[in-house]
Amino acid sequence: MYRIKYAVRNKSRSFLLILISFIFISFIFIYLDSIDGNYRALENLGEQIPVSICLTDVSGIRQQGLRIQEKTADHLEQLDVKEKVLTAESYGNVSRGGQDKEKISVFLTAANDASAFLLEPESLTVSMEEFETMLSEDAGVCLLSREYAEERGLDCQPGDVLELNLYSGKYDEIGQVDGFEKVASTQIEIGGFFQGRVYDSIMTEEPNVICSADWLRGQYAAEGKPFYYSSARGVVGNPMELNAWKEKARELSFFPMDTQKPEDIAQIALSVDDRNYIQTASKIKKNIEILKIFVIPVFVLLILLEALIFFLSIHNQKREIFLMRCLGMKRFEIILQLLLEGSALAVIGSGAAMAVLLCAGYGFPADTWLKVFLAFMAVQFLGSAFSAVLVCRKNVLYIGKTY
Amino acid sequence: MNKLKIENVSYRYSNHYQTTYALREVNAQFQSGQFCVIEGKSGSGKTTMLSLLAGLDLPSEGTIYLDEKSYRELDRDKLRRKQLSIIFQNYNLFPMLTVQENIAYPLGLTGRKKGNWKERINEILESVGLNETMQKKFPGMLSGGEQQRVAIARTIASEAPIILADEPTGNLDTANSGRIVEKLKKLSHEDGRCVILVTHDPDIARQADVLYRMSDGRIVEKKNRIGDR
Ligand SMILES: Nc1ncnc2c1ncn2[C@@H]1O[C@H](COP(=O)(O)OP(=O)(O)O)[C@@H](O)[C@H]1O
Ligand SMILES: [Mg+2]
Repeated sequence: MYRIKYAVRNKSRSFLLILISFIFISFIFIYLDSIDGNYRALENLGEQIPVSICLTDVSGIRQQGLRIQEKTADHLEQLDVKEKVLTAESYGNVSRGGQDKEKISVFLTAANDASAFLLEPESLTVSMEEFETMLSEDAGVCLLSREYAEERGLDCQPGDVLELNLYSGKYDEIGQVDGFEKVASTQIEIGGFFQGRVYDSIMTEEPNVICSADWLRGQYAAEGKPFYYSSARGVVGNPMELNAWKEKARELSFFPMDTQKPEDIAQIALSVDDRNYIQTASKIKKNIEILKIFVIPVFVLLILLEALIFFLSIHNQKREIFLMRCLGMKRFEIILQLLLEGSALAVIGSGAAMAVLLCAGYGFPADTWLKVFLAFMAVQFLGSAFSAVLVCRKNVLYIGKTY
Repeated sequence: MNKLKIENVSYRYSNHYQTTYALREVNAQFQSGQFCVIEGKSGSGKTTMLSLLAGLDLPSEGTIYLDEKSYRELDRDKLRRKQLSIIFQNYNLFPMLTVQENIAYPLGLTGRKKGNWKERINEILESVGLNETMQKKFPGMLSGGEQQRVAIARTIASEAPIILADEPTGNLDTANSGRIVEKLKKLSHEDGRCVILVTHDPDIARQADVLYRMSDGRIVEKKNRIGDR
């Protein structure tokens, strides 16, 4: 058909229309992607800037050596908290030298996660993975301090079982240890040894034994004795829902609304370190907001521009249109031709744009590609149809008089 | 036998500001085999009259008949496709189509582009004094005179019985102009077509079989040379 030859030979015009479609489609997708990108950034922000939480004393300062009731720790379970680290401490004694049964005192520390400690892998006789499983499982296995064993002449090997008497401290009104109370007699297996300091922060004492917090709690529970954790920290699971999360925490009376109230979990406060997160998140949210505010004006502008360009392109062909009418072509035939031509060029341009974007790694769901493409085609079609009808007047004489 | 008749035709252009009467109660008649000329000064309404004859618009008042059928009832697209061929002063050709494609365009529209149409186009080109090498050229590469001859070639190829030419020699020198008028005259006298030519050139007007002189949208004089001959 002549029309195809015409479009092929009229390289600059066809190229312009293809280019315009290419640019518009690329722009739309890049715009959508930048909104998406901000959303993704917001979603991943929790990993880059975690919102860490910990239980503290009412002053909000002390994070360790607390007396956190079991039920308070259990309340944490109801909140979405990741990477939860709980520690506990206990006193006890073990028998030395087999028959002699001389008792030597021991200070235990327990945790549910290896990250509670500051131990280098070289300072352990077990692998880090073994240490991990030891803590996460409710197993009566422990690590013994090498210095402690040597100092106290505890001659034992991994695999040996220690006879352990557990004690809990008796506290006075101001929370100081004032004597001990026996809790249970039990056994614990020596899984290996550790060396050096264990904690990074102030501790009441250097521990001699490291064991699983769940196991320790189990020993107390078996005797019906109250158990206390000494620290609890973690990371908010989904910081996007931070406000709801805090609301829930408030419902669980984690925040010391009433510091006068002495008893219970009110003595323990939940501190949330969210300042950095909120700062960065609000910046990203602002970005999204701005992009969203401009979505409609920008797209309307693009649509108008696109319609204008198709109008100009058709307007430019008035002379040819007049000639075609003079040669006896029907109005609707010409309009149809213009529409087909415009659509074909738009399909080529937008198809190329989408192919390039796909190759460049822009990932959108299939229906987004389709929706944008169809919307673009619809706009170009309506724009061209409007222009074609406008330019291809019924009154041929008028077309001839106005080119 | 083709007879074009204009009866009491008026035509006005109107826009927001004013209404201009371009034609006022014009009566005229054109027949096959005649070389008819409409002469008049610029702005006298010649182009308007030719456009109405081409069915590009309908008269504001009055009627145009082709063989007693009113234009109002005719399919005027079909009329232009089958019965009429128009030549303007310029811009007659599609710039992006070759000479050959331009000439074959009406054939494509009427479904007559078959058989040895290429040879026929060659013959036609020769008959208007252009050679075969022109075929693959684009109109932009041709001189004004050559372009007009291509337009005439297209008219010949279309086999339309009525040829409307609006100052086809307006942009040409006298030699070229003479050749084109000669060709148009031949088309009427030898091929029996009805040629209606619009011009402001008295030299061309003198050669007409039928001459209408226009002024201010009216026909002020009619000369019939056939009668005189
Ligand atoms: N589109 C138009 N709008 C208004 N007036 C017009 C238009 N075209 C032509 N005219 C007027 O109609 C008259 C006849 O014009 P036209 O037929 O083009 O004359 P010619 O071809 O003899 O020079 C002129 O007075 C011109 O000013
Ligand atoms: Mg004129």
